[in-house]
Amino acid sequence: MEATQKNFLNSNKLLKMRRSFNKRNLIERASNLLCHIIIIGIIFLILYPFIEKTLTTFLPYEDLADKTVKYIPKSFGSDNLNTLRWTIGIMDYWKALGNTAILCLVTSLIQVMVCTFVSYGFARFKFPGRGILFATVIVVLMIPPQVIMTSLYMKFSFFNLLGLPTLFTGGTINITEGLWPFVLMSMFAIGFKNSLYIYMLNQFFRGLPTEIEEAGMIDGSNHFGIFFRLMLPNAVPMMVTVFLFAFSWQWTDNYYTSLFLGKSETFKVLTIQLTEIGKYPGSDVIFTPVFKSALNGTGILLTILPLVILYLFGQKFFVQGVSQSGIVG
Amino acid sequence: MKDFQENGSVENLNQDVNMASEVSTSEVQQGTISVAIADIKPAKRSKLSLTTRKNLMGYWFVLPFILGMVLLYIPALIEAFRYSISTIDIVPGSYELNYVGLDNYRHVLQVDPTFIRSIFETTGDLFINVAIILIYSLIMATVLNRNIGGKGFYRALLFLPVIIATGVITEAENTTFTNLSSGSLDIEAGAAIAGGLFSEVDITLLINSLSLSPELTDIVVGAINNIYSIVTGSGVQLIIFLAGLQSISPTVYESATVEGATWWESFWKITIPMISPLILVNMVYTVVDSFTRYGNPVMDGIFELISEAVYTEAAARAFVYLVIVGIIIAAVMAIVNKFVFYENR
Repeated sequence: MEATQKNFLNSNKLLKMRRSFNKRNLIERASNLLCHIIIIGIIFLILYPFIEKTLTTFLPYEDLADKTVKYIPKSFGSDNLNTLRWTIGIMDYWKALGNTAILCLVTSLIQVMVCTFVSYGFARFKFPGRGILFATVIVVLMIPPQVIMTSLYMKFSFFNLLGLPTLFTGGTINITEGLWPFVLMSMFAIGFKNSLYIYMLNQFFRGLPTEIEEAGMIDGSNHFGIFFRLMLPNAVPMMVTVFLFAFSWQWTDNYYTSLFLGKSETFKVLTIQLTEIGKYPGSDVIFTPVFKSALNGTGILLTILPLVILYLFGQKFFVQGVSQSGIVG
Repeated sequence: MKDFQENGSVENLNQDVNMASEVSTSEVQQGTISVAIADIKPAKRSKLSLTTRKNLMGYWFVLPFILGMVLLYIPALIEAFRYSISTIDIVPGSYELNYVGLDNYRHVLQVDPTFIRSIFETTGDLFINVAIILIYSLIMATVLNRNIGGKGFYRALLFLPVIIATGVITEAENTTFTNLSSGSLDIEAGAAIAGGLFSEVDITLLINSLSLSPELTDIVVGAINNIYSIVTGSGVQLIIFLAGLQSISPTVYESATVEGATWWESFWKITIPMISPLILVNMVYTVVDSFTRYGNPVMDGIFELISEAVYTEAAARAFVYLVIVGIIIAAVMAIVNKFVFYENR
């Protein structure tokens, strides 16, 4: 009995071994390997600029000028941090970083709250004119921001919403420099890419069961109560996704930042400071094109470094958010 | 996207209407009962039904958007249109507009030598790029959808450019390159530092030696040279395709295999029809994205005019551009929608 069992096991093993050398299996493995190679190649393409810039950042000045040196510095010492030091100095990095963080946090928090609110209205209430309004959301998504850029700038330069500023100061006020244009646009859900967020959240809310609302109604809650107590807790993952998108797109956006903060001396943000590197009036002896491009590369790295860290932790929300946003099916 | 949306919502609407009618009757009954028992003051009872009252609540929720539209966006849009038909004088505390008719448009369309050319350039590039991005992201999504290890890891890295390779970053990369090429550096070192993976000359020679038509050669060479922007510009599309592929039931493929279909056949007969709505979504997304993307010559031109304070002409350009973008998106949706297969139709 034992012998037969052993025999059986042996044959099973043999079968397995034979199967692994099966022709079909071999093709499968080869094609899987090919897939891995293709993907790794493309990922290398994506990461190459970062790797290259990171390595160039730590080259001392002499090595940058030396054509025989590539990526790996000849000497190690305090000179290796020269590029980094210059970049931080020119960009006024720490101050700009703080400002950008404040700007992005404020705008994206407001945007998430307002867009969730608005999208819930679109998803769950069939009020007259909903179709037209929702079509407007989509149309706004397709209008290039440049179209209204000039007039928006003028609107905020000579700001007079509902005549209130005239009432208090007797004239229009200029609020282009600072957070106000961003806050106002976010509050009214017409900020940067807000239509896209409304669309995503709308699709999400449409997927939630109506029983939740009915239960809330029976228990005597009004619609705002239902929204805040029942719907919001369910929508938290989607809101995190939208928040992360809003935050990181605002971080790298320079339509609105250069429009409203481009000439600002008091509120410097990273995207504007990055363009300062190219304009920096350094002497031609030190600021050779190679050194300038190294500075620029380091500036790019420093600008996106916080985003990369954010992505490392929030990766799940970013990727799943898109696939669960209901755009699909 | 709008058409797709409409189709989707029409189906949902039908369901919703059915459900709504069921719900409304029960709700109305419940409403009357509860009112009858709890509310002793009948005078307070609204004439509107509960469902209507519920739906009117929706206005409160979308109020921020309506206000934004009415107070900021639409006035700004109208204002922009007024700029485009006027000249502008800035006086202290305000500005004055003087009506000049279609002069700005005439200038943009007939006098300005760069605008029309940049529009054609952008549009021409666009058609090729949309095709390449869609094909690339579909292929990558199919590859990722196979059961290979490390799927999550790969997906995360392929999506990375959506977050970081946008706006100013792209622009800064470009300035690096222009700085270099205008500098005293020789081309070889410049290409090495600017991150050129291929030498353009080699590729062109290689493809020329295949003796294809010159147009095709241009497209292929262009695609290879733009491979970085293609890869970085297709993160969202890839994820959408991937999610679409995963939503196709494996039983469909199984039955096809039982019937003797090869992988290639099931790809064309099952995968493509099933994800065709997403092809439309991705197409519109790509078109919108590349029209509003930084580094687009038309956009840069408009931006330059704004920074030189030539607001009127910038507005005229923007409106011409808007009309062209609108026509192209409408055409894309009208044409592609004919080929889209909707499962529930």
